[in-house]
This record gives sequence, structure tokens and C-alpha cells, in this order.
Amino acid sequence: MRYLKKQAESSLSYSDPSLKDRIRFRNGIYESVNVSDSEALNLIRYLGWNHESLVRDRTAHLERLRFIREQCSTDSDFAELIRNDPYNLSFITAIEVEFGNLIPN
Amino acid sequence: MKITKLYIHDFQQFRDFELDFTDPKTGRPLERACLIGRNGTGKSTLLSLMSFSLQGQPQRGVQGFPACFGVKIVDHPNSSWLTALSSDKSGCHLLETSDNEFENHLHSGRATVQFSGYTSIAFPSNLPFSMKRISSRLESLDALTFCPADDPVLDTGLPSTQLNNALPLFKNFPIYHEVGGKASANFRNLLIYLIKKRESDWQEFLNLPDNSSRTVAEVQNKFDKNHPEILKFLAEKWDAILEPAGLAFDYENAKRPVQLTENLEAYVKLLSGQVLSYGALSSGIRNYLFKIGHVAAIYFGRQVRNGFLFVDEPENSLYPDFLYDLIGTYQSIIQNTQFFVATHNPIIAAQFKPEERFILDFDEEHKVTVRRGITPEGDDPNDVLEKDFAVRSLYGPAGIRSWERFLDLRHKIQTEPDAAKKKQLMTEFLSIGNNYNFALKNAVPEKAS
Repeated sequence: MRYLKKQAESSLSYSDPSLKDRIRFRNGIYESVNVSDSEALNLIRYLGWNHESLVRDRTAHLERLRFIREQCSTDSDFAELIRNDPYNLSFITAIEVEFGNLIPN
Repeated sequence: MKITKLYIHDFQQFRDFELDFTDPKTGRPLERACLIGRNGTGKSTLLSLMSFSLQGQPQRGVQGFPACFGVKIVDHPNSSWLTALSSDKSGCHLLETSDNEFENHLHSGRATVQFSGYTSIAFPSNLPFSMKRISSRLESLDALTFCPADDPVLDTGLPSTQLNNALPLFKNFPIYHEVGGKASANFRNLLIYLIKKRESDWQEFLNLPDNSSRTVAEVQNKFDKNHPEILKFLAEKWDAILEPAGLAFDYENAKRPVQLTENLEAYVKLLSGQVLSYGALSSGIRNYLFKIGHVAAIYFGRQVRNGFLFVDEPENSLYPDFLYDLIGTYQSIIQNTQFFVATHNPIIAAQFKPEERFILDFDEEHKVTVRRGITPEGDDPNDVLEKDFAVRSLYGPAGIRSWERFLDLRHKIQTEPDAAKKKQLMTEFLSIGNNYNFALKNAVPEKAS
């Protein structure tokens, strides 16, 4: 994507095992657990996770899922619905934070 | 020198029309302005009229001329002039006067229309009052550049030119330049002139007494530091444009031009090294490169103190990705120049501050009105479309039908008693919502009255 071209490369890899402890999803955006963790912040910036249009897409998607969750009588009904929708894979981390781990590996 | 106001009285779709090119907060002249508006609102006409008033020659696209027209020019805070022009059976008159002179004349009984503190008049052919011709006022103008929108696309056959055509530029470098397809030969003349001028400057520099004790290499080094090469400069500008398309300016092969005719065709190469013919480039990129190159060459190696640049529809035939830095690219090659753009494109418009945006529209009597922009500089072009361009909906008919279905599903999901049917509705709801990324916050149910 265009905006990614201008971001500085991060020295922290996406596959780094420490990633889960250093980056979290909270209130709709990704942030570093430690505010001064510049590697984590650079990776978020480099991957464009908080790019305005992506945040807008993600927020709207989570809103739709919240509505569907309210309309489903059971967790399994909801899990089945979102499991069958590959679009959810784009926002898997955000969905896990919002709704728990409903999509098996 | 800046244009601060423009008046038109009864001309085409303009009645008592005023554009104020000052910052509403500071009152200072704007450095740049962007005219936006639906087709027929006269954006191109306004650019042409302003350019006309500064050069005294009719521009293409302007049919006739306003009976009463004025452009207010400010040289410095304490001194301002109004250029006024009239057309009648005896022709046009290009005049210069101070604010006071103009107002005094207006109060002498010739006034016909009261307008924004001034009174517009139709000037008679034999003016009974003393006004100087505007040309004297504009002596300090260094560069007046006009890039029309309706220029023919440059074809693959580049117009040829000769050294003899470029030599007059040594004696008489013009103030007015038209940039575009029709003027591409002028661009090439300008390149030849700049290259030959550098060669001439080099000979002069080499013979300076100070350099007699230095080696040629030392002198060359010293000369190169203060005398940049036009083709190298263009290579930097063009590479920034070409890089996203995997292309680069072939500076090395274009370095030894005599007539430039052959070399121009080898100017562009793939980043992988393969040389492309100029004609292999898309017409949009070709025109963009030439426009940027031509404007850059006009300013190259000169100290322009008072310039004006008018660019009509710079977005023509360009993929949106090229547009995001377009205004910055133009600004990087000009100096001390008031920059006017007319555009239909929200990506271009978003690169201007709201007070620099002038949105033209029609009133109920089909006369043109104007208002300033709302959205901040650098805003999402979709917001610029909705708020400044006042485009009612960004969705096409299919998108609008899907939005209505999305709302309908939202309602039905909440009332459907059958579990299987409800599941089907929810699946469709998610599918449509994902496809269009519809936001539920935009679908707040109506409150019960």
C-alpha cells in the first residue's frame, strides 16, 4: 500500500515470539505495551496497523460483529458464523481481543 | 507581486462576481489558490482571465471579454493597484490605477453597479481620466506560466527543433510561457538554451584570471558546484515521478545532446536498464513529465522574484497515485510565485488549505457563486468530495441499493423468529457489510416520536 512505502523499516520481526507481549490491541488500535518500545511502535507503523483507513475498516467490521453477537443466542452460533466468513481472518487479533478465541487454529 | 482580488461584471455566467485571494485571518495575499467547481462554472475562464490581465493577450478558451473586469495586484503592503479591462466595439483596454484613483472615478457618476466597496463600471473607449497602461506596472514580472487543460496529448513523434530556434533565448528570455503539448517545441528549445548557456558559462568561467593557476579539473569541480545541469535536475524530478511505475530518467544517455531530437527519445528507461522509447509511456505520464519539466526549465538557474503559475486540471490522464504529491512537485520547482490551480479532483484539492480552496457553483439564476473550502489540508479526499465538492453520495446505484438492503437486513434480523432464516439473514448482512464496509454507526435507527 502507498502509505507503507514511506514508513521506516522495523527491526522487530512480525514472527518474533516476543511480539504478543510487546504489542496489544486496545480500544480499536494497536499499541506498544511499553510506551517507549520504539521497535514495537516502528513495527506497528511499518505494517500500517493503525493507518486511518484500516482503523476505520476494522472498527466498522467489529461493530457489525458486535451487532451479530447480540443477535446470536449462543456463542457457538456466533462462532460458526464468523468461522465461515474468511473476511474475519483479516482482523483475527482484534476479533480475539473483542470476542475471545472463537476461531480454532 | 500577488493577485489579491478579481472582479467580473456581466460576463458569460458571471454577474457581480468577486474572488478574494487573501487569507481571511491575516489579510495577506494567498501564495496559492485552488479553483474547484462543476463543469461550466468557469474555472478555466478565470485562470485565462487572470493570465490575460497579466500579459495583455487573449488566452485560448476565452470567448470575448468581460465588459467590466478587474484584477487587484499587490506589490507590497502599502501599495496596491487595480488592473481593469473593458471591451466594447473599439476593443479592450488594459489599464492601471491605484485604489483611490479607481474609487474616485467610480464616484464621478459613471458607476453602474455597486459591488463590494468598489463600483464596477463599463469603461468607455475614450477614457476621460488618466490611467497608465498596465504594462508599466508589470515590468517587475519575471515569469508568467500558463498550463492549459485542453492541450492535445503529445504523440510519439516529438516535434523537432534546431539550435537556431534556441539561440534567441540568449538575448530575449520571454516572461510568458505556455506549457503543454502545443508548446513542447518551446520546452526543447529551452533545454537546448540551458545546456548551451552552461557551456558558454563554462568557457567564461574557465578564462577567469582567478582560475589561471588551477588545473582544469579543479576549475571544473568549482564550476559544477555552482552551475547545476538542467538534465540532472530534471532527472531528480522525473525519477520521483517515474519510480512508482518502475521507470527512470536515462540521464547518462541524454547527457550529450546537440539538437536533443534523438536523445529525448532515450530519456526514459526501465529501472532494470532497458531503454524505452518515449512513445511507450502512457500519454498521461508523458504530458505530466513534460509539464513538470517545462515549468522546471523556466525557473532553472534564474532568480524569479515575481512569478505567476496557472495550471488547469493538472490531474488529466493521471492515475490517482501520481496525484498525492502533485502540488508539492510543482511547488518544489517554482519560487516567489503565486500558484493557481483549477481542478475537478479531490486528491488535488485536498493538498490545499480550506481558505485556499474556492468552490464555484451556480445559483438559482444559473450565475456563478463562490465559497471557500471547509475540510482541512491533507484530509481524506472522500471528505473533500462530500463537504467541499458537495457530492451527495459517494456510492453508485448498486452501492445505494446494497446500503438499503443492509439496513433492511439489520431490521429483519432483530425480528425474525425462525433460527434458520435468521442465520441466513445474518450471513447476508455480514457479506454485504464486509463487501462495502458499511458502518453501523451510520445506520442509527430513527427515534420514536
